[in-house]
Amino acid sequence: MKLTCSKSGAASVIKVEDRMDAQSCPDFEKECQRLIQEGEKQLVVDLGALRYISSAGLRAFLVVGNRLKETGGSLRICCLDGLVKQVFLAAGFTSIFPIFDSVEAATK
Amino acid sequence: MLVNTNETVELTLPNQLSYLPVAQAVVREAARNCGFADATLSEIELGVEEAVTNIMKHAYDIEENPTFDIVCKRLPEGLQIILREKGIPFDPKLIPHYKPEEMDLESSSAGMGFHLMKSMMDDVQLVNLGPGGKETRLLKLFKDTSRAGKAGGPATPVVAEPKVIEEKIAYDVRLMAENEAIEVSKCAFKSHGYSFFDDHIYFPERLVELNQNGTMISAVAVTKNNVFMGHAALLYQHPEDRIPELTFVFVNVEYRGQGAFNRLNEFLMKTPKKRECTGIYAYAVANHTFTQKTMARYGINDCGILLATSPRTWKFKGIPGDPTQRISVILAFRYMDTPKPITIYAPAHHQEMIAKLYKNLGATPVWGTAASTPAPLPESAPEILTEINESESCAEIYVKRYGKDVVREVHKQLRRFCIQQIACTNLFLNLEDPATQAMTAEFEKLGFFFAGILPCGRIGDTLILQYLNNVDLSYEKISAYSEMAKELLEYIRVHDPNASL
Repeated sequence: MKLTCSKSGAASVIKVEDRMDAQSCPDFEKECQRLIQEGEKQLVVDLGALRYISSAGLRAFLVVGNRLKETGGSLRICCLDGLVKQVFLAAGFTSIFPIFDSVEAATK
Repeated sequence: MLVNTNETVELTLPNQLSYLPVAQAVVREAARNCGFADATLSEIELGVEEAVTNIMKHAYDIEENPTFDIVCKRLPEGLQIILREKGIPFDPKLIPHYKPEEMDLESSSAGMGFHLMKSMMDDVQLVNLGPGGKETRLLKLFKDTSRAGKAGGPATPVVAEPKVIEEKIAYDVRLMAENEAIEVSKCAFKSHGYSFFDDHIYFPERLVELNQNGTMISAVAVTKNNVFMGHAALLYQHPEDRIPELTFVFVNVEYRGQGAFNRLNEFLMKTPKKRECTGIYAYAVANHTFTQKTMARYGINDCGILLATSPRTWKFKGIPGDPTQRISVILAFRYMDTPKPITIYAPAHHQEMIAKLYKNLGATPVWGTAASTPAPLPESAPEILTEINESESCAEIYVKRYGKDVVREVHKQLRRFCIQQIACTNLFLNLEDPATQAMTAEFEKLGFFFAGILPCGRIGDTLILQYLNNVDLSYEKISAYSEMAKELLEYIRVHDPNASL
């Protein structure tokens, strides 16, 4: 898994590439935790380049989403495609988090 | 890695998360070989990750460091993946029912992994095997139903059996050269896989050594261009043997029908031997009659039937057989010279059959009669030799010399073999020893029953009795070719204490 962080207006954008599985998802959680500790309230996760996600990855989103909620922030997800979109739909996660088609739409 | 509809990939992995990518990679490649599209490979990979992490999290305590097995089995309709572990018992009914439509941030995610597993696969079963542990069985079907029932996906190499060469070709039969030993091993593998009962055959260097020291005489059939066709050998099983076994007879499939089997036998009969050779014996499997016919053609005649000596899993590539029960063998023998007159002390109740068997071999022994009151056995301990072939689940007991406690000693050895779950035990008694006449009935009381004779055996002319350790055997499935073998088989059936049960 490759993580790339950038700033877009008030939001921090994390681009996740390759895989989010049981082995790699702790890295994603740690990175999000770091941003939240630094005071970020609005996180946008760009999954356009993510090709694989399992339930372990989905649970990481729940952890990060709850942490942000506690601090009054929010988690937005964008660019779902392929298997990742299929998994989000199957697990009902498209109704938990706001989903956007593009980074631009998510950071507005 | 995968070849046809029977293809299976199996691996055992430590129960550690760091091995998850290994599990996924293997399953992914197995699925790819079946012809699944890339998008489906990811679904399968996800189903496997959920199953593997479920085992890692829930099947074992943290302190344990066990393993689990993954089996990928190609089916006509798709791919089955079985994850097998021996972790803590578990009731699948207790898996929380995951409801995606009711999910929100505060909801528990319990049951989500199992839900995704079911979403990605076409069937998921959690099977409790009792003391055998548990299995998670995943099934992914081909979406393209036209592939169902056909062997081989797009990326699957299908290995074809070599074609039999129909026209008659010229070839030579001669002694094996050292550099041909590897061809003999390969030929054995092609004929029997790794199931052949004597593993010498899979070690070329051993074949060379056995030939060099005179324990074995290997003959090969080769084309005029020196292409290896087949092999047969005479092998002395024990240092004291006077008769070698005709064995290791294999002919590559493409050269079957050329008469190589016959010419190899003929060559071996005529080849000068470094060791004494009063006769030749051979075992011909009784799940088909092909070998029996060839033996008969060369005067190697039937003298015994040993029941259930080999596992039913023995492979005979290119030759039909019955894989439903342990394999029995016909024992056959041929004197190399006119047999010397010998006195045989046959037990009275088997003398008629023993006489028929000797006659079938062309011998006319003198029938010895022990005194009406048998002489007491020597006070000394009996001399008993035993051999066990674990891969065959077969054992042999030779009574080389009788002694006072011989029945007890044989019983002790038999019990040892039974405890080891050895399927069949053959008992060899010296027919040249007057004590055999009376003692045979004592051994039969232990459950041994008639099998046949073997002249010039390790301990002399031999009466063979056999014992079956709860072997499920149908006499109807045993193929006997000669009239003698048919009569002997019926004789054995009548005397087999298990046959009437």
